[in-house]
Amino acid sequence: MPKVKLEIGKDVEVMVRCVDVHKDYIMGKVIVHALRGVNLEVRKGEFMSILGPSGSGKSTLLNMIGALDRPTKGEVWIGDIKVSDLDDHSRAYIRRKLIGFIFQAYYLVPHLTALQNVEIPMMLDGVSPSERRKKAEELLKLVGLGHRVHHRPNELSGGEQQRVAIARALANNPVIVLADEPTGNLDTKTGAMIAELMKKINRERGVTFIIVTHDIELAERTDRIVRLRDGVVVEDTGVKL
Amino acid sequence: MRTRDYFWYSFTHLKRTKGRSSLTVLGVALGVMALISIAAISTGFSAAIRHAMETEFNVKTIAVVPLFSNYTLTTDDVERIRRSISPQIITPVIISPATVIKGGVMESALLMGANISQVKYIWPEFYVAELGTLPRDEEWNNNDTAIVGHKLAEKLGLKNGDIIQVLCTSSGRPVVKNFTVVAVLKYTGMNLVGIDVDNGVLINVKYAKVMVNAPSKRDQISLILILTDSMKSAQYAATFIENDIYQGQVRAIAFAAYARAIENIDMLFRAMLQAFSIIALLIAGMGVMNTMFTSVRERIKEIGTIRAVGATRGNILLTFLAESILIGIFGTIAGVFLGLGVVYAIDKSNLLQAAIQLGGAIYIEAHPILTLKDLIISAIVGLTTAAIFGYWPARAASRLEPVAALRYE
Ligand SMILES: Nc1ncnc2c1ncn2[C@@H]1O[C@H](COP(=O)(O)OP(=O)(O)OP(=O)(O)O)[C@@H](O)[C@H]1O
Ligand SMILES: [Mg+2]
Repeated sequence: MPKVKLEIGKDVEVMVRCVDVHKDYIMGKVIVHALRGVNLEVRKGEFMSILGPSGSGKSTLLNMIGALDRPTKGEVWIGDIKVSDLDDHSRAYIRRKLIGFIFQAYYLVPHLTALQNVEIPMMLDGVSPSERRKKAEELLKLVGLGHRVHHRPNELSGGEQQRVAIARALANNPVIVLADEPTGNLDTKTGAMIAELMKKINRERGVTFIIVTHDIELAERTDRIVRLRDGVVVEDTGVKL
Repeated sequence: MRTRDYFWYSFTHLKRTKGRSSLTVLGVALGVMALISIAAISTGFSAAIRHAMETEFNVKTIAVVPLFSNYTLTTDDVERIRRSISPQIITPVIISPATVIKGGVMESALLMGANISQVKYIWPEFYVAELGTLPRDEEWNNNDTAIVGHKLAEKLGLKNGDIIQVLCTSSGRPVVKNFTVVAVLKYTGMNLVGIDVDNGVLINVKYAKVMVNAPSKRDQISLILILTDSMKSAQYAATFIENDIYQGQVRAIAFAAYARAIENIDMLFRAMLQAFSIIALLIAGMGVMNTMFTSVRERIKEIGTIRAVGATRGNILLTFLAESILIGIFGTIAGVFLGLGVVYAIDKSNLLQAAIQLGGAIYIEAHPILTLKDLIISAIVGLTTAAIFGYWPARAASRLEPVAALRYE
């Protein structure tokens, strides 16, 4: 067991807190300032979106929140855990236990079936095969894919693949789901269905959702829109009631 | 993550990339096969050489020859050595170049005068008749009895009962005498200290003396053969004869020295075969490494994804290592069967034959010998090679940054 505290407190109200987060990328001789001091608070159970043009730093910010990467400067907190300070191994643990990722291009493992893809986070966590299989079947039912469990990704439509990805994101009962352009590869109708599915999960399970997009329609389906431009927050609607 | 899950995950991937994976598996299989068959060949050869040394290449034997042409050995020397070292057997031999004539055909040959009963005792394996029967002592006392070597008999078409003319020179004068062939020897392949038995005409040393030597030097002989009771005493006696009895005027050749030289050749041969094994393994290992690096390159996105959903670097390392180990396991199993097949085929085909020429020559026919130990070692080495060569690609995979891996196009 890691020595640092990796369990989230029970009475946590603020699920994500970014304090003056900077991220610089060094590209040869040029330094790209992807984030230039982002301050953001997301409360437990929120269903919110981060909106901004291409290159504004949305994915970069999401990666900081998701403990995939560390900021050049500033702090990122998940509940009462300061993830920006954690080492590689502990951040992997945080991602496995507390966070679910959904990507624009689904990123399912091509040689595994839908069911096996959903099992991956549980497999990484050492859950027994029978237990994780049961859980994966439930989750696939939840996203409406109970009849597609043994299909491989290349035998599924884009919308179906994204639903598998959503089921996978929920596998270890995360407190936050981070979605990077989840409808970007889908047509409007399918995109709307995916958005509604995420909303339903948020309402029923109380999982915090942060959805990155440059699609205003998708953003408007969420309860709160944070606008990002050139690596800073330029507008925050706050939670619409 | 559970151990069986690493193998399960890698196995599902291997199944998806059957074509490439099976080629890599084949590479490992061939490596293990080479290892097994080479071990068997090398063990077989060593055993054959050891056997040859203990029997044909008699390590208890010494040959005494004059070192300088101005020194001549005589039958007195036989007595002199017998008195000082009392060997098991000591016998004089006369050697002279000769021409053998049969039915108008001439062949050069080697006239050898010896006490057949004693020489027979020193090299029982060589004195085996192919045609006719070897003479008993009283027959050998007939002054026209001869035994001929295999090659000479073949060249002249000789068989027992044939009359041959043997021509040689004695102090510059030609001498001709007729002999009756009583036996033809089996091929011996022996050519020790210049005595090519297969090209020889063997007669009683008494008559050889008369034929070859001038009347004034009737007791002159070419060499003395001595049999001692062990390889050690042979070496000791050889030194004693050379240094203490003759003060360096003769050369006493202990065949044990040749045996050691042959042992060295055997070691060299083994080392060479081992080098081949190592090359075969390196090729197999490179195959695994290449396949796994290709796999890592193709699966960068997958690695990024798995890392995003919570895999540690260690998880990634072990996942890819498990894949190499699986390749190693399948390759090793196939390799063991292929190896057994090759060893069986070599055994059936009598492929392992060689003549070793070294002052003398011995002819060796070996059969592969596969020990359980060699089989197990080959399997372990095959598996370990796959794991070791799979380690670098696995490490490279584990070192990818998740964000960079996800952005990779
Ligand atoms: N690993 C990297 N190395 C160098 N530059 C990077 C890296 N990641 C992001 N950037 C740069 O940082 C800036 C922000 O990138 P980011 O991917 O966060 O934008 P985004 O808002 O997600 O854009 P999009 O809507 O196109 O996905 C861009 O200029 C990008 O080129
Ligand atoms: Mg992006």
